[in-house]
This record gives sequence, C-alpha cells and structure tokens, in this order.
Amino acid sequence: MIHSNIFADRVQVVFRPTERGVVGLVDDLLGLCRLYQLRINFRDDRCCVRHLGADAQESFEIPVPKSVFRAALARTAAICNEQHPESVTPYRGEGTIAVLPPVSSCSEKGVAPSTCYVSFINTPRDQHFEMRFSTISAGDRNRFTVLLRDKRTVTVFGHALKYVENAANTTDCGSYGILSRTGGGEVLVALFRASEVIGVFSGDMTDPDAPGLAGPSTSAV
Amino acid sequence: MILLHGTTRQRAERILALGPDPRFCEPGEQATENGFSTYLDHGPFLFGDPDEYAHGKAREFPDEGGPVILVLQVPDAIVQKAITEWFPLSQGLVQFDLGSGLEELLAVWSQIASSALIRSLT
Repeated sequence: MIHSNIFADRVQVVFRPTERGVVGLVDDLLGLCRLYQLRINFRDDRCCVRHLGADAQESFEIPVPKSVFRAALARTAAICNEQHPESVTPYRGEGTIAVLPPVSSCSEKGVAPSTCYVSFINTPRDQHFEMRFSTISAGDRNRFTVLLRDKRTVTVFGHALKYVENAANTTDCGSYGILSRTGGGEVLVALFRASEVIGVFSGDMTDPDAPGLAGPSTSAV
Repeated sequence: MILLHGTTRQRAERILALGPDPRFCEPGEQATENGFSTYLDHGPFLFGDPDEYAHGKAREFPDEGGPVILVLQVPDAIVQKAITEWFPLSQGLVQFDLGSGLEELLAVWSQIASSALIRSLT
C-alpha cells in the first residue's frame, strides 16, 4: 500500500503543469517507464491511472483536462513516428520509444537509454494510454539487483534487461528477463514475474520509492 | 495569427458555417467535450502534422469529401486567451477550450469565417 501511494505521488507530480507544457508532461511520463508500468484511461470526464497488474480498484484519479490528455496522446504518437516513421496514426497505435536517462544522471556511469512500449487510442470517444518498460542495455557483466515485493533481493549478472510479454495470456502483466551474451547470441539467465517485482537496478541499488534518495539514475525498472 | 486545422471537407464546411462545436461527435458516438485544436501555420508540429490529421480523418470517414486544411486568420488577442501552462505558444498547438479562448473565438467567428480558406489535400 505504501508503494501504491508513492506510485500515485510520482504520477501526480508528472501531471502538474510546468513551463514545459504538454511536451514536458510526456517526457516525464515516459521517464517513469524506468520505474513503473501504467495504464491511463479518460472516461466520463475522469482521468484514472493504475499500475499495470494492479486491481482496477487500486486506480486513482488525476485532475487533468481532457484536452491536455488528448494532446499528450498526440505527442506520444508524434514521438513514435519520429523514431519509427509511419508506425502509428494520430488516433491509435503501439510501438517502442527510446527514452534517454534523465539529464541529472547523464554523467553517471552505466546509465543507458531504455526503451518503453506504448499503446494508445486517441479518438473523440476513447482515450487510453498504456506504457511499460521494454529493454535496457547496461554493458557486459553488469550487475542487476532485483528487489521483490516480499523484500528479498536477487543479484544477477547480465548485459541487458528485457520485458517479456506473456503472449498466451494478455491479462498477465509479463516478466522481466535478464540477458547474458554467450558466443554469438544471448540467453535469458533470470526471469521475474513483473507483479512480484518492485524494481530492478543496474549498479548499486537505492530505494526507488524514496524520493530524493534514488531515482531513475540507478534504477532500470 | 494564421492557424491550421486538419479535417475532412464536410467537417470544415460545417465549422465555417456554424463555428467550432466543442461537443461535436463522430457518427455513432455520444457528444463529449473536446475543444478545438489548431496549429500555428509555421509550426513546430510537435503533436503531429495537420495534414496527417486531415488524411487520418478522411481515411476513417471516407464519405466526408476527403482531407482538407482549414486555414484561419485569428486575432492575436484571441490566440492569447488559449495560451495556458499546458499549451505555451512555443509548442505550436493552439487549443481552444471552454474557459480558454473558445467563447472569444466563437464571438468573432463570423469575421474569422469570412476570411477563412479550405485548402484541399491530395
């Protein structure tokens, strides 16, 4: 429950207006994909957010105008098309977006760009946004520390972290896999169900839910 | 200031005749509050290109006369009313919502419509 509250706090901070407008909102929202996977719906004049994999009753409301949310979806579509021309329409689509690490962490060693998967619908009737972490490369023999919801931590050596969708069950929130290079290819050396994971960290671990102490600089998911 | 709105010919003609309808609904849908989105003619187009929106709407509604760009000359003072923290002019999107410039836009619509153009896209 504490983690849910911190998730809500972080999302609400992203949706506070700044001088960077809707473009800044989308940049910050995509930046969250290193920490959280989320689904946002706008229905009956209410914008509701929930953690992917969480129950619907755990959703919370964000006080954002509909035009702002629709513009954020339009910006997401534009970014998809900038990175992968003609991959989505302004009204719907899905794809991956490369997300640079926050400026504050660019000078830190080992912080690589990540990619996140997004899907959206943006029509006058339906507005929906879903975002989840996809992959991050962190160099050979990088140490990934996985913090589980039951408070255990697991350390795994690998070169990349990848989100693995459960294609056989679309209601399942998938898993995080850690990849390691072997010969000419790569193998999955560890797999963790996303619903059981609080965060995956490359390098030294700090608490992702302690604002001011940690943050995307060292956390991968 | 010159503003662009990508849409279909049928919708552009309706907007010119009646003014933007923030509760406009597409066939088979219920009316919801959507405001009226336009772009500065010189960009930037950080939210997609108006041509792309026009083509997209024309594809979804092929009986509406094809894609067009509605070109509007809007007084600067009214554009200023639409500028909010969320929609600074530097981002190229001028979003008219109720309480953010839409009422003022509608108040002078006949004047705006008289100088407006509908530009066909092929």
